[in-house]
Amino acid sequence: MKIFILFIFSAAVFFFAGSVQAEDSPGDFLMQQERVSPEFKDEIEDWQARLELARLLSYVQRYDEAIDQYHRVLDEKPDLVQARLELARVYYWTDEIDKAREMFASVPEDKITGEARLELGEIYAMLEQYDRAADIYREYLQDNPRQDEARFKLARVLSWKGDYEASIQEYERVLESRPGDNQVRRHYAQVLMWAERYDEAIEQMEKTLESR
Amino acid sequence: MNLDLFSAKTKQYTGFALMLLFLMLVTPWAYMHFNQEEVLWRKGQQSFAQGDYEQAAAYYSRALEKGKISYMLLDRLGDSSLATGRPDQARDAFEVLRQRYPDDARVLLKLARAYWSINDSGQALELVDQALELRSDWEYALFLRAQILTSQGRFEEAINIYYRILGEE
Repeated sequence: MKIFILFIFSAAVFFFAGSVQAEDSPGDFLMQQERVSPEFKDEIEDWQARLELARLLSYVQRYDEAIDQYHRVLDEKPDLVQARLELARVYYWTDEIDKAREMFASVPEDKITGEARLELGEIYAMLEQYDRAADIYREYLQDNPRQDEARFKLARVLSWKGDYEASIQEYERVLESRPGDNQVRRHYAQVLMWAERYDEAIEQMEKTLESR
Repeated sequence: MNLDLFSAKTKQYTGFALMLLFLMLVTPWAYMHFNQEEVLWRKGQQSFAQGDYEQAAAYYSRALEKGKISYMLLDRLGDSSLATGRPDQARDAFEVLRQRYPDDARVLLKLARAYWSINDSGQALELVDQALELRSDWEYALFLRAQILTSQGRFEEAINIYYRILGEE
């Protein structure tokens, strides 16, 4: 009888000890958050904000400021391939070709991985080396098939090199996952025009107007 | 087998050992059977810690289906869903969290990211502003605000925010 009671007691201890509820409040959680969390931080490092700022300044054509910010990013992070490539691109835009080539040459191509490969593709596209750019985007998409932005870039490059059917296919894949993206749809319509598929182009243009 | 060959004590201890063995085998089964949501949650945590967000999201979703609900589960489900390109699922998880913790700036910001990922930048911006009302100097919130403004084409406003983050206004 004693053994039986001991058995029941042990079973209960084993069972309930394991089912004690873990943390369930924001306070407890925040203490654990630091251990593992994908890309979610309280603080932003200066170089991250500065890199975004540099990009934005280049978009609004404040090139001198952008170049200054890129250099300050590189002072802090000299190995940041992405920044080097973007700075090279800005130099191309400002017709400082020697500086652009110098900056571009400072990055060995085999060191360019991940997102930075997209930038490399952009530079090849700018140099009108569309085949090389398309190859880079395709390689990138093999590892990141759901990256719509890269697919959009591939679609654009394919259209620029006159491969309209391939470009249209890529645009359609992008629009499958982003049906509300009018920017992409307008580019898609443009390529349909180039491919002389006028009715479809009109249909797509109408869609962009309907959703306004 | 003639059991009379064994003393009473031996039989007693043998019985006890057999019961313990039984317990060792049955308890894990019973635990997993009756606490499936807890087991799924812990498996999800393991996958999350290993960076396997796809698998983690699957475990978290199943734990939620089995009835487990907690701040951390919803948060992790949202994070894993965002990391694996499922912003709708992330938004749903973070929306439940917002209902439970409306004044949690962190939740508001994560929800904002989910809305932004589904191209609802208006709602995202509203949520970021709510988070900034709770923590006005939160750099990450300012950073996200600038990124959202950029996506809306409001470049000058975004530039000013970046300069503010850098203390170079």
